[in-house]
Amino acid sequence: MKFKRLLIATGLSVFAATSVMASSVPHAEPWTAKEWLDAKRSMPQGDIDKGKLLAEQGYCYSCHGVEGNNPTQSTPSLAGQNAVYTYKMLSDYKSGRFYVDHKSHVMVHLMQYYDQQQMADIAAYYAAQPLPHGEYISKDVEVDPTIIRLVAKGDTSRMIVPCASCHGAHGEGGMNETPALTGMSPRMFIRQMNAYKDGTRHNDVNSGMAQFTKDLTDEEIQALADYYAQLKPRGAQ
Amino acid sequence: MNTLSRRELMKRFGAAGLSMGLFGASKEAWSKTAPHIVIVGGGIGGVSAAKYLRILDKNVKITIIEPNLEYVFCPGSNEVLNDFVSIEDLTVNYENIKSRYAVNIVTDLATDIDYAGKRVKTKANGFISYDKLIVAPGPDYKFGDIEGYSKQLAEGDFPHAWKAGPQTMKLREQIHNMPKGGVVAISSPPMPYRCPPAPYERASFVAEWLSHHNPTAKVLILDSKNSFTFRKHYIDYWTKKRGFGTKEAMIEWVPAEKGGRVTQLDAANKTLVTADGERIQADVINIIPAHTAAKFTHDTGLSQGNEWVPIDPMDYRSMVDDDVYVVGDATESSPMVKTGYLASNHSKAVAQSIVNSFAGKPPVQPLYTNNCVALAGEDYGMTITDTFRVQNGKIVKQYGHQSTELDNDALHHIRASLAMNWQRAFRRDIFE
Amino acid sequence: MKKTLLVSLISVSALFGMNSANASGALIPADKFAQDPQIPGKMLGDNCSACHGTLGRFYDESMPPLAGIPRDVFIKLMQDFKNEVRPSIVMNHVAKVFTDKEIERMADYFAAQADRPWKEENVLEGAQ
Ligand SMILES: Cc1cc2nc3c(=O)[nH]c(=O)nc-3n(C[C@H](O)[C@H](O)[C@H](O)COP(=O)(O)OP(=O)(O)OC[C@H]3O[C@@H](n4cnc5c(N)ncnc54)[C@H](O)[C@@H]3O)c2cc1C
Ligand code: HEC
Ligand code: HEC
Ligand code: HEC
Repeated sequence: MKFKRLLIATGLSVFAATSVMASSVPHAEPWTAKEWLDAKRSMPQGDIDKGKLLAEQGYCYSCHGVEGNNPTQSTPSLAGQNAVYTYKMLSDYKSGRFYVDHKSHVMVHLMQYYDQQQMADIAAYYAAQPLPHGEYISKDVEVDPTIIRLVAKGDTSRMIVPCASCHGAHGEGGMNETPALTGMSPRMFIRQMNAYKDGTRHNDVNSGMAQFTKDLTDEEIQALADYYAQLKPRGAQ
Repeated sequence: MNTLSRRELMKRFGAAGLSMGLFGASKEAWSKTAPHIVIVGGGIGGVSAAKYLRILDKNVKITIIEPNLEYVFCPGSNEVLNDFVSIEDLTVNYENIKSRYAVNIVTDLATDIDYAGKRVKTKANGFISYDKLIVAPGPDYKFGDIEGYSKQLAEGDFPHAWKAGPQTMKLREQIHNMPKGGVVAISSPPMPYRCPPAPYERASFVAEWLSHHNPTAKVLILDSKNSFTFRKHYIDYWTKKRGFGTKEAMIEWVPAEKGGRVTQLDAANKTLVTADGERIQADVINIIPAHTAAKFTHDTGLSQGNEWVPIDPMDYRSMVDDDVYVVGDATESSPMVKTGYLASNHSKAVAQSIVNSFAGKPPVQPLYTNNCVALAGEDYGMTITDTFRVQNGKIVKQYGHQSTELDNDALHHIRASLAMNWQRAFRRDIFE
Repeated sequence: MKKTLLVSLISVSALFGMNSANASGALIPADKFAQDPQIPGKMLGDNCSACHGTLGRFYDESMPPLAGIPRDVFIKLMQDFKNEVRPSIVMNHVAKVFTDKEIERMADYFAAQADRPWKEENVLEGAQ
């Protein structure tokens, strides 16, 4: 009797995230550099207008905010994001390459209904929106100078390449799939950095991003999150 | 104290139970300084009341009387039938409520109320005195409405599984072990019963399991009603996925007007008899009986001879005694339906009212929402958003929305994720 | 007396499981309730806990926490949901029923909640 056994177990299992649904997530091996190169080459040309319609009708606004600008910390803003990155993320949800925990379920399930062209359209639409203005933290947060140094100069002793060398001096994003970080929600930033660090996020090609997170402390990740949250897009007040 | 209604009560049920003399010395030993709030029933309504009271007031004494050591959530229990959810995920004990919220747990059955002496009688622990009493015992089942059905059969080979727990596991086992091509018959009850879409959710998850493991089997819903909540969605899903309406249909639904109302169970022959006299044999029989308020509310006169306990919707105070509140499925709350979401919200109004009354203030104006989710499959969720307000002592339904979109598979799937999230968030809101 | 009368009224409508005043469930605009006694922010906001967590302090799921959202941001979000500026899975239907004043009271309530998960709260702190 399965139930008898349960009566003995008195743990508060009721609070644990249900494990069952993870089984409904597709599985894919991590990208090889060649595979991603091919995938990137075959990314269709996106149509901004079609993308806008898809985003509106697909209920993306519901969680990501009007025009992809979410004024709270809970879900990432998508406005102003590098189109290749958005396209890659949507593909990674669809294939199951990106699955951190139950919080990723919505996106994994949702993307099963989108094809490459639609993903490219959505990505083009969001890329055409202005970057968010960091409404998450109070404007006058003090940024630790050592963090600014880490972003701009890196840390050779720990083999950390400057964040800005890839993500841009204003956090505006970089080459290929390197995402913009400007105005990113600190809660999301910390979630993603920790997921790279503990290996639950491994959709980056050749651990191209994860490798820089391994030696960062919790305090540094928090400070980096604050730094990018308050950062303004180039030219903004 | 509402003396008038108490006098009425005495007239109706006799003064015997109310006279002090009949009750022995109280066994309780609380100090007299802090008010004591006693709660009958450690389900969704009762535990919400304890937790939200504690959040409002750190110094009152709170006691829950509940006969079971564990509580198994009903929301999610249909999904246990196809192993989408495990019963472990739905099972919780009272340790956290006890330690984190300083709530005294008495594992016992409440049997009577001494209104004049402000004491609850329990089966094994004698009397427990209260300053305020919250009664949250849920529903009972009217087995007698279906000839030949009984509590004993429900606990044996004919589980209703309308209270999650061993009966849920029994039903699951029966479905999983059914012969190839067998029939599961579900008898859906007349209104009002708890969680109106749940019988159809149940049929859907049974069919989901069968479609993978026993594809020629059938689910037959014999209904005592002519329609049901989310009918359009369920029919849509069943049509797309379960051949509904065709010869190969895995799910069939027979409304009352077409002879769906079950009146009799012939247990020996595993056969149901309908109002039209038709006999239907099935391999698994799941009768969801008609409901009434829990026995405790009838035994104590709280229901005043009605099926459900009348309350003042301002703060869920009972009509028979101003220090006694009744919440959840047991209450006459129409036009609200009976759901956990609402049971929990009744309790928040009660908690606020009790704290106010200690401060000599009237209850605050309440709001009751019922924002529930239901599933038709692992990839198909639906939402209900109901809002109720109280005007001139009456419950007014301000809004009652059910999600309507049919042809948007992605949206249905997001709502399914939402439903699973809701179940987790809800369990934590009550027990964590 | 009043109470007894009420009971019989309710039981009749209970028979049909619907409310004669609004059987269809169509929206009665919130302003129709503007003359009623005020519903405090806590009473309004505690209705959201089944999804957003106790006191809006649930950080674990795909349902966003509400605790600590600045007042003006909260008002903007709720108005956007209410006015269908932000197409939504459920929140538009949740938000539709509130008056502007009620949204403001909820904004005050949630802005005042600690921006930390509820499970970290020491509930009994300060008890005698
Ligand atoms: C299959 C199914 C699915 C459901 N899904 C949903 C859903 O998705 N969403 C939703 O909101 N609701 C759902 N519900 C409804 C929900 O479970 C109930 O509405 C809710 O449990 C009502 O809470 P309550 O406190 O009134 O009663 P219960 O939760 O039933 O609690 C009553 C408690 O009182 C105790 N008790 C009874 N008599 C005594 C006594 N004399 N002394 C001491 N203790 C006593 C019982 O042991 C029990 O623990 C579902 C129900 C079912 C059956
Ligand atoms: C029900 C809420 C919800 C809806 C609706 C939703 N998302 Fe998401 N989305 C999320 C959450 C939560 C995350 C973060 C997931 C994680 O970190 O695991 C996310 C992450 C993303 C990301 C990754 C962002 C980053 O910076 O890493 C993209 C891109 C995205 N969503 C696009 C979309 C698009 C396009 C739609 C509409 C078609 C959509 N989302 C609809 C909740 C939602
Ligand atoms: C060598 C280039 C490179 C360097 C240096 C680098 N990154 Fe990245 N970063 C990337 C790439 C590429 C991605 C996208 C990876 C993927 O596909 O998941 C990324 C992703 C991220 C993300 C996830 C964004 C999101 O929306 O989910 C964060 C956060 C981030 N980087 C922060 C940093 C920080 C902080 C530093 C410095 C400590 C840094 N990165 C250094 C290339 C780099
Ligand atoms: C049935 C579950 C449910 C209930 C009940 C609910 N919400 Fe929501 N809420 C959501 C979901 C899901 C989202 C994400 C957006 C969406 O899908 O609608 C959300 C988003 C929000 C947001 C936007 C937060 C952000 O960070 O973007 C606010 C504000 C909000 N809800 C307020 C409320 C208030 C106030 C109540 C109570 C009156 C409430 N909600 C009740 C499920 C719910």
